[in-house]
Amino acid sequence: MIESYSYSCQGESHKADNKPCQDASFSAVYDDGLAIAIVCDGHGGERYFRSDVGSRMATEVISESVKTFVENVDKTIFIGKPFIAEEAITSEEVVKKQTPVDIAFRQLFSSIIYQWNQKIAEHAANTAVSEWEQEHVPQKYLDELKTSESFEKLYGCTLMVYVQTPDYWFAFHLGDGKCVSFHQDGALWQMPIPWDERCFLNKTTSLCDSNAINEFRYCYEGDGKFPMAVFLGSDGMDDSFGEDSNLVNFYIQVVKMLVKEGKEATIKSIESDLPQLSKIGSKDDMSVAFIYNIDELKVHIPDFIQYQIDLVKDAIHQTDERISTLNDKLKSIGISILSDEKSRIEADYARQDIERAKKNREKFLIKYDLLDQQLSKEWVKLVR
Amino acid sequence: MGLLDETVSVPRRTMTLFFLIDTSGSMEGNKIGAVNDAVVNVLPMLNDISETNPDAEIKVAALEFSSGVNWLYDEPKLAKDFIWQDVTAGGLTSLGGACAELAAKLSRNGGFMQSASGSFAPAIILLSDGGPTDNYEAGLAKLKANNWFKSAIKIAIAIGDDADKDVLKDFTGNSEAVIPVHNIDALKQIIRVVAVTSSQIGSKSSTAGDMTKQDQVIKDVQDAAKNIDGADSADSTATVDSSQYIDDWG
Repeated sequence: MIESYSYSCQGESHKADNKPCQDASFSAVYDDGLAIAIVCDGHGGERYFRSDVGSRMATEVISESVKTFVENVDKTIFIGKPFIAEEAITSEEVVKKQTPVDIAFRQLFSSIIYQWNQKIAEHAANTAVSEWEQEHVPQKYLDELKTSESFEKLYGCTLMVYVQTPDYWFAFHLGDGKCVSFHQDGALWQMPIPWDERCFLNKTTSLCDSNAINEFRYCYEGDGKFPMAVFLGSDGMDDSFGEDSNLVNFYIQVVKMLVKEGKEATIKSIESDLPQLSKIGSKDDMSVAFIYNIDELKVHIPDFIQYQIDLVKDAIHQTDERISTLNDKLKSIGISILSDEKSRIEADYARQDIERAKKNREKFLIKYDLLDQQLSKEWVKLVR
Repeated sequence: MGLLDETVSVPRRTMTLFFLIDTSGSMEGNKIGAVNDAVVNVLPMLNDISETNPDAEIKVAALEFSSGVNWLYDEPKLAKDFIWQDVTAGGLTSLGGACAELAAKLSRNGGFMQSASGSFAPAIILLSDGGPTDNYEAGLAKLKANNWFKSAIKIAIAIGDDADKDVLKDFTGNSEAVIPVHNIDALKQIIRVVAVTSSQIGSKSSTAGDMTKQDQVIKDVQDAAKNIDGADSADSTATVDSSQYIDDWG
């Protein structure tokens, strides 16, 4: 059974000046088997002062456009296609992408941009400057509402979308944030949508860019293989976890909770933990949206735990290597330590780092034991 | 079982502060002494910022360059752990070599940086009292192509009238990010102001208004420079000879 969930919350850094949550998310599973997950992240700068509205409108436009697209597109253009991923294109490459799927997607993306611009223009024309805007936004940007003919920047946001039909699936992305998919075959997880190197630290491509149409990246597959689960997370999520493996590990926790404790309990945890995560992590708004097949997740839960165990094993191995390297360093320093100040300092550092590494190793061992017990329980269940 | 239980890691975000220090022969004497003194004194301040900042911890890395280049340590250290080893002056000014070396370390692969997710842009403070004696353009070109460098807060301290401000401007990408100093006290004070301000602003999640972090640092440092005897602020750096101060390194 395919299920979905989405949630957005205000970031810790937005609480001080009561800035609204500028993320928006959406998810739905329809009777015809269509499932959609969307995360949009409104930009944070002063100029983008209506990006909360922009991101909400983007989710509305995208969900409707995708439904229309799936209803009307000739699905045979997807059928039988293996997994294909396409990067954002530079202006010189526009003519390159001419397969029927590429053309269909380009029409979908154009439609999204057009409708989003229509909606925000309407909103700009009909919505007076609020008290909050008057108080917090520089006048030069408020003036743009009256003097400018285009409002994209004021409402600027990113978008990330996953769509699953009974026959094929596709995903597209413009801007930052991360999409993680989990699979039955091959590697347990991947980030299926190509990354755009222009999204780096606090810089991102955007729906408000003049060249937005060429900044979409996408992927699709129509050979009957579907991910077990796909998670979309705004950059507030991945900035909280740093390394991708930490983000994936969190999503695995979500998967395990969905299987073990059910959807309601998982929703409760997400809604209480994401604000907490923002506080200890990125301080940014947080959004997740995900689609999952609960029956497949149940069958493959040992794979998820095994992946976590492998991750911890790797960490222990790396820690052991570091301790070994530091011990070698200490030995090599040993000879010159009495005469050389730099060597003495380096030796002190090495000793400190060894102590830290040993403490980390103990934590990893606790994690390992915990996960190993979880895996054993799963095997017992399977045997019964 | 919770979503944020002991199996999930939420590492603290990191900002790395780089000191690039010219240790050529012309720095010998009071200049290099002032640099050593100022950095030693500013490290506890950086630690305070790091420990009281909920957004990120601050790590420090230092590269000295003269006839060659040398990292003080082979990885960035937490501000609280960084033990300053006095640098000594002698040799030429391999700024190009320093740029190339920095470019190599502003990377995840064999470099000092971690995943861009969870990291803040680094802050880079360049101190020099002369002009490069190597092919600095080639090294700087490598650096300018580096995404971390492009996003970094970059401030240069021009030590004395002989510092090549055009080169320093080329490095920072902004003439206002070059702060000339003309005596020992000004050098010490500006090192402190630049290091503290860069760390405070660079390690914060949110920025003030639409200004970039680099612009915020420049503004605050320029404001501070106005009150430091022997330091030039932006309005007096337009030409080499426009400073109201005379070099005094005695």
